[in-house]
Amino acid sequence: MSAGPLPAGRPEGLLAPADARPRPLPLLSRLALGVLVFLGLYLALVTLPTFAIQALGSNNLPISLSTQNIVLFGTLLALLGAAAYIARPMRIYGPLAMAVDLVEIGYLLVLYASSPFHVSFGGTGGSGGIVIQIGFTLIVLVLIGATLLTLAGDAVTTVEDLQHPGERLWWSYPIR
Amino acid sequence: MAAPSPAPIPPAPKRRRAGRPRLMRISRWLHLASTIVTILLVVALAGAVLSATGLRVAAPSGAGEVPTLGNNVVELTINLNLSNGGFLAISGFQVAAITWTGSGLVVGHYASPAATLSPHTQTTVAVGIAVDVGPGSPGQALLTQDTSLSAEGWVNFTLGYLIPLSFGFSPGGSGGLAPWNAPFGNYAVTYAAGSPGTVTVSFDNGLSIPIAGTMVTTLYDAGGSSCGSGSLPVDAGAGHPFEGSATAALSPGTCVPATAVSTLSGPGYSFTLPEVTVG
Repeated sequence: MSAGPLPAGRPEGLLAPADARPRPLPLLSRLALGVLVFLGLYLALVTLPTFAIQALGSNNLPISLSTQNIVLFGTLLALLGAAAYIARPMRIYGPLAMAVDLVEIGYLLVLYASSPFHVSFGGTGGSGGIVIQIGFTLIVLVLIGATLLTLAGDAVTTVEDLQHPGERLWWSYPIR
Repeated sequence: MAAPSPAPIPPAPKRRRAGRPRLMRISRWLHLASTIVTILLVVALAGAVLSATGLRVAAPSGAGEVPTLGNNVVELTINLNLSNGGFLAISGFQVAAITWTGSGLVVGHYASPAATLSPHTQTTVAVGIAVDVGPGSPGQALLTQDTSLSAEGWVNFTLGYLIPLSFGFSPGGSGGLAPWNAPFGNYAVTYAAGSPGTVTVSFDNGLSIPIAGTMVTTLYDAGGSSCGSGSLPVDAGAGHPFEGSATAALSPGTCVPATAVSTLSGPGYSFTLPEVTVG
């Protein structure tokens, strides 16, 4: 499969002026917006969580979650998410969206393995302190289920692009 | 012949879209289902956290550890008042505790049965750590020795059927240690020869409740053979010393008491004290 733009094949039964064509954003605009998407995702997935963990740690509330994993998976998700946004009118969009879903599932599995979180107050090692464990395996499992649904949807989009190239563009970029 | 009518003007092209193709519909439904599941999860989480703000766990004011006595068991009980003011049930509510000596020997433990706390209800959970002080158990020495015990407890429950939470806590001061005041502190047995002889028992009741009953003290010679015994009534007030004497008719012959073992039987409880050298 090439990664090039999809030919905007006109779907059967589409009622629209004969000269109408879906008009995706130009590549440069998508690149500019893709950078913004990356920055937004990086802020939400990497910067804020690591800041929160460090802030809690500096206030004697350490959380048993590796910031390395947050940076690794968050950066990957931000990069792939931005790439998928840029490639939305292209054939590569479906596989890229699936890659985002797979990385997300990997991230959730890492979170699943690190459940429960431990938050310690006061003393250490059972010396007059309080330790709170917050389990979230069920939450992560539900999120994995939701991501699997998205993955299936993106797989169907990939098949759609293979079988009917360009058809998707008429709905992704509605004619005006 | 009438002039031909002008050709009808074709209607303006409709700009609406036809129905989406099947694959795109399937993809859209799957994405929609994923979004709905995620939204429901977020709503459930927010509800669980909001409901949890109504949960209150507190010990009744003025209530501390209340020891109760059993057969070779001292039970330390703390009553916890639980109030669920939230709108979701707190399920799987369980309290567990364990206590051990400075040398790492576990001497007591407790685990309550799991309970569900319905919304807008309150209840009291008695957390009782049973310390086994029976003969041969690691805790028997606690009958006569003041020491410090390490203790750790857990409160486990599940919020809104979604978020399992566990609070672990270590009561006591520095080092997680709680003082243990022995019920028979400074326990001593002396024997005064005579006809009959007199056996005297003394101890300090370190508990916050009185100890009363009948104590039977059996004297043994160096070879471990019983020389005889004496029985005396015991009534030691909370935190008070006790000393009592009884006559002890020893076996005929040359039995010289070397050690003694005392057994106290009271209302609903009995204790066998560790072997002690006769003074």
